[in-house]
Amino acid sequence: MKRPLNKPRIMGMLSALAVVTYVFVSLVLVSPNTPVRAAVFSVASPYYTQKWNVFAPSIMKVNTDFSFQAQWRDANGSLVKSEWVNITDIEQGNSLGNWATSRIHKQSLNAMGAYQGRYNKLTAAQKKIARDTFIERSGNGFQPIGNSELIQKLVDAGNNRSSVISFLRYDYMMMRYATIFATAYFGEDIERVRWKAERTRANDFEHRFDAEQQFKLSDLVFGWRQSNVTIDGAVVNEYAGVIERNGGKQ
Amino acid sequence: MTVKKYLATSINSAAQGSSTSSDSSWASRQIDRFVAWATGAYRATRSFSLLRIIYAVGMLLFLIPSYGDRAYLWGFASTWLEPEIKRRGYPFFIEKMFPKDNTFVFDLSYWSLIVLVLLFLVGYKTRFVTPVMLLFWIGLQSNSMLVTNGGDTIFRITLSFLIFANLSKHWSVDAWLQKRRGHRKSYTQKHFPVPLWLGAGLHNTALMLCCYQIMLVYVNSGIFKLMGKEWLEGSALYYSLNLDAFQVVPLLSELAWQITPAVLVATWVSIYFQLLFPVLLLWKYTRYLSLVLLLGMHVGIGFFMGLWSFSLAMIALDMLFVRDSSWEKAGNWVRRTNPKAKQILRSEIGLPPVPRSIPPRPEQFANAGSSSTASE
Repeated sequence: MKRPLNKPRIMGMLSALAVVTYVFVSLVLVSPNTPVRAAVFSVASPYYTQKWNVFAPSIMKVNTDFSFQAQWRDANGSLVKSEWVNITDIEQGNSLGNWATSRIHKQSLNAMGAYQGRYNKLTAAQKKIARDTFIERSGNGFQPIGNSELIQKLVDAGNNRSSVISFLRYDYMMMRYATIFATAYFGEDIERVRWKAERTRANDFEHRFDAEQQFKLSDLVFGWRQSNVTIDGAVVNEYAGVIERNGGKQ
Repeated sequence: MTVKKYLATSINSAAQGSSTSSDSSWASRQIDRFVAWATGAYRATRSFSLLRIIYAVGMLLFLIPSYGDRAYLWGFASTWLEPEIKRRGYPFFIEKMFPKDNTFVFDLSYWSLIVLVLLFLVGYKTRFVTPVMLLFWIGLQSNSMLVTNGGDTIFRITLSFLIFANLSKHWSVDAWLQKRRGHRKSYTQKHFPVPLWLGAGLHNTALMLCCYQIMLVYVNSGIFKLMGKEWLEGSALYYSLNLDAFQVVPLLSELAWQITPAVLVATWVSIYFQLLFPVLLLWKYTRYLSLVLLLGMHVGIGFFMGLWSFSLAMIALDMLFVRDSSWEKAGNWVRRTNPKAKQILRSEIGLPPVPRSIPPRPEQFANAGSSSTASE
């Protein structure tokens, strides 16, 4: 004989349904890419998106800092090239010895991590183009290579349009970030910037007590980009404040 | 009435009410047990109240140290992030909560969020504060994808469940106001009464979802670790302690990785206790062992790597596996041992001992009598 449906029983059923639904959605979200995942992702994203593979399966071993170099014109109109400036070092200036640190210590680190992630999805031929300059001669001066031309050049070298667009979008963001930072840092009208992933790593576990450094990683240097940013004085002041608060210029 | 008694009477009455015990199948009895558990009482109220406090501390540890950099990270100086931010797909009203083109409104929202978290911490109007705080929390997070960590993700996901839970039954202004009101009902209780089956049903659904979420984090993370060479050979902790971004006090990290057995054991414990967490929950002693070990692991992550908001979020969720009856037992034990502890403490600092002949106050009897039923 069936039990009558009373309110607590209905509530109990709804409760179980809610749990089962979330279990399904979350398991699909953390699973590898499948058509089902794409469908669930479109509904549950961005609110319930999650991934729990931090430090796994392969543990992070390399420290990657974001450094930039800038160019501007002096009074004679000649291009001046700056030294490399490590944004990550500046942003992490106050985090040492501080258990309750500002989230600023993650910004450039994660930006470079995400940028490198997109760079790694390019083919070898595309990577070579990405490491080259995105500036071309125009008459007596220079100009940025046009977007469509750049996209075509990269797509021709690898035929993976979505990876190319995704990389170039981040490249554009990095150009803006580096340009504003350089403007605040040098107080000049910045014309070009380039950046690099500055990489270091500790010895392997087996060689952890060795005095000699086991790895000497080369930096991943990208080519010059034309600074294409409308500079807002208030934003530059904010960046200057960040530099000042975190220990000043290097 | 205790939980066990409640379950017993509820199952008996269900069995006697519409069918006889002979035709009541095993599955049907299990459903009855589940319904009684899910709708009969508010579960884990002490753990939820503790979670409220720990979450608030974790969120304040995010908001206050970043206050000076708010414009750089999320405000008008972070517009370079827009090409990616706009692709994340948050509704426009969420994006407008912390506008990058209006410094006054942005700052007002930031302050409002801090105030809401403080109200959440003390447990004032928690039912109202929790969803509003969640909206502001998502609003801020939606302005940058670069400065969040796993803890922020856990806050975001679980707070959407927790808006249905009673987070302020203990250690809160709400509880204090309720106690002061006595039997008199508040305006909301008088005009919008929530039946037990509904209130408890929603509360316990939130409990199940939060418990599932933490299991998902552990098991998913454990599976990934099981696929990593460094995790299996026991060296993973050495590498994580050597990352510049996670060295709060480099000297401490250096000292820690030089103790090889500690590196090996901590690495393996973190894989296997995470992976086996759902199984270890099944027995009381393994449950407490795994909770203590995982608590230690999260304190270690906070201490050595500075990831306090993540650690606190995980600790708060771990605590949900401690039953109200266990908290009561612990409370009673502390109360029993308290006079002795007091004596020891007083003698340590040179004060005269408390005379043993002081009779207990009447309200202590009253509290002792009611404490076992309060949460059940």
